[in-house]
Amino acid sequence: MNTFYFLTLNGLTMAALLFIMASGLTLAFGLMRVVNLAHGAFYLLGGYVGVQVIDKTGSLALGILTGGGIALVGGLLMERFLLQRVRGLDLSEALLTIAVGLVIADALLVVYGGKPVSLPLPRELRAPVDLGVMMYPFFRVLIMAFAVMLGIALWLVMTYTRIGAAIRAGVDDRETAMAQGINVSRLFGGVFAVASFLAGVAGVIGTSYMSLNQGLDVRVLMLSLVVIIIGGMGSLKGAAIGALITGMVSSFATGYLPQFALFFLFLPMTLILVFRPQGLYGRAA
Amino acid sequence: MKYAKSLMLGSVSALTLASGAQLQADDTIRIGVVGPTTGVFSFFGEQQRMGVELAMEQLSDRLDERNIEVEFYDSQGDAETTVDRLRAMESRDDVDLVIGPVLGGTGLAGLEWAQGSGMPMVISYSAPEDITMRNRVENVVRAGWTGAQPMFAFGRYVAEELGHKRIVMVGQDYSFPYNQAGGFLKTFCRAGGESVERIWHPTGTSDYSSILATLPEGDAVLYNGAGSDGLAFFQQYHDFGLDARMPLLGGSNFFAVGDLPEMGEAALGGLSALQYAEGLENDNFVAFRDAFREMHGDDTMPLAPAEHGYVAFEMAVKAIESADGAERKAVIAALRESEMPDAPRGPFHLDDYGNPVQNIYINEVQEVDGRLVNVPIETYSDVSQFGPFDPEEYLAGEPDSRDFPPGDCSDPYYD
Repeated sequence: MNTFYFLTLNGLTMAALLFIMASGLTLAFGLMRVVNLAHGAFYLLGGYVGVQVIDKTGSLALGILTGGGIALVGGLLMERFLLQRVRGLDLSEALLTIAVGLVIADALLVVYGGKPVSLPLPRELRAPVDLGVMMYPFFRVLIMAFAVMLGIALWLVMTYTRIGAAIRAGVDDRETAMAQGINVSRLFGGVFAVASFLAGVAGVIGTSYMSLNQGLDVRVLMLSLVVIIIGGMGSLKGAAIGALITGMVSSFATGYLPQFALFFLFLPMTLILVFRPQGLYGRAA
Repeated sequence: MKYAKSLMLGSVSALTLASGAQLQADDTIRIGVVGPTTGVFSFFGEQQRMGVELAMEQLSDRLDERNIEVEFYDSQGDAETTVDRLRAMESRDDVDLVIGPVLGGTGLAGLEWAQGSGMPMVISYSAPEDITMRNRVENVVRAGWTGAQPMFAFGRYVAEELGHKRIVMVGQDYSFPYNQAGGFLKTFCRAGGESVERIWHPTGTSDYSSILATLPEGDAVLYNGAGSDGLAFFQQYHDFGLDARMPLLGGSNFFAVGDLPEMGEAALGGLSALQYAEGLENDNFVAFRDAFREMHGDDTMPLAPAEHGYVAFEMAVKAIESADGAERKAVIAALRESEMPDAPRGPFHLDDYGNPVQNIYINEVQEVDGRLVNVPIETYSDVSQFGPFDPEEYLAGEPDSRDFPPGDCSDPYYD
């Protein structure tokens, strides 16, 4: 029974991290139909810079904010100076984001080298806490709590604020929203920046247990894509459910059949693509 | 018209220059060093480069005497690029002898190229056993090791000295860890071990929490891998407090190739086996280590790829000297006879198949002068790539794979 809780908690931790990554990605897609394939590179960028700041200053909060901040700046620059030039050209947009991702990852390789990096956490964060069913490392509990709070915050913003309403309108029907006077383009810039910020934050947080290295950007991006394909592109609820499914499947598959972990990870996505291409909560195009 | 003429003149003079370079080449002997000096695996290539540079400085008189020049090539850790570089060495740069490659896959690619070309080659850190076993070719020798080689000693040590009976092995799912597991099992099972349960995960796994949740009981866990996977596994193993339940042993690269600073104090006491240890204290080694750090900075510790590059270079120079030139046949014959009684890692000679017969050290992570180093606590001398086994029998047997040799030591295979 202990193993069951253990695997569940592991799945939840992973789901939390995936939700932080995927929530921004899915909203940006919903607004502008742009899949940002540089999202994984922002994870890497935020991670490397954030960990370096933590190493230098010893402040975890500062590191997380800097990691997110640098990714936010990167995202803003990319949106303002590159993406806007090819707006509406689907293929060019996708290729552009791939290019930016490769450039960022390669630049990071030059600056930080190819050796894996880990995040030195203070002992009290690494120490396990009693969750009633079992002992579990405190920082993993914090990651889950952070994701839940982020989910609630995003939901509140989306449901009760004018900006949230505008985003929802933009996701539902871009043309009509623009005709109503909503500046979807500027809105998209904002969402894109927030999404990049979250990717950078995830990079720092994730390094607490997954060592940061070249190639992780692609793996994280793949998982985020799996999440939003399962959940439905553009849906916040979908991102949450998709993250939960992906996290759980990954955890139990790795626990019981590690050789087939990747197979089981991509199985739900494949089934969804075949039987419900718009995803669980997505709208049919 | 005038433009075309000057263009022609230009190309003619370029041709003259090129042939001039060819003529010049006659009495110069060129050694090409190939390894990943950029890219994800640049650590390994940089270590090799630094080792070779140190050897060049120390042997500079002998290099001048023979008119030996050295050129470095970047393989980027990629098999295709490695072969491109090797081709350029032979056809463009008139190289007479190659040192490298460094990584497993590039080593096999280099071997295949060398087979066709006949170029004398001293492979340094690259460890696939078939380079000097089933696919061996006359002109390729190795200054380093095979994956199974240090594990022959480690398997025995774990069974006899640590007294562990049941080992849980978590490893990266590809050929190098299979080979390490194979070497370990073959001696562990014959020295009193009972079982090794192998759990393979895809390379590039970052979350091990669920593997750890379902980890079977055993006397110890051996992580058979390295790099970012190894670091993540190490960290999560300690996060979940499993180190209190079962000690964590390492495959040969786990603690050895530069991840110790990231692992931190938790690595103290960690055991692994390799033909090298940066904590060796004999005179040859200390001289090597001090000279290396003087040349490349106090913070740069020479690790196995550096020493292997250093030694490979010395082997090459010695072979050229005893062949009295770069005539291929003579150089190859001399390389195959290599004896290195004063190598920093300890004395070694090549076996009939071209791989070192050398000391294997059981290393423990200790803190020395404020930094974590692998300190040898036990030495197994004269270990060959076949371990305690007869070469012909070994070669006739099945190559190591994901589930060979058997994990249950009572299997008739071990009789």
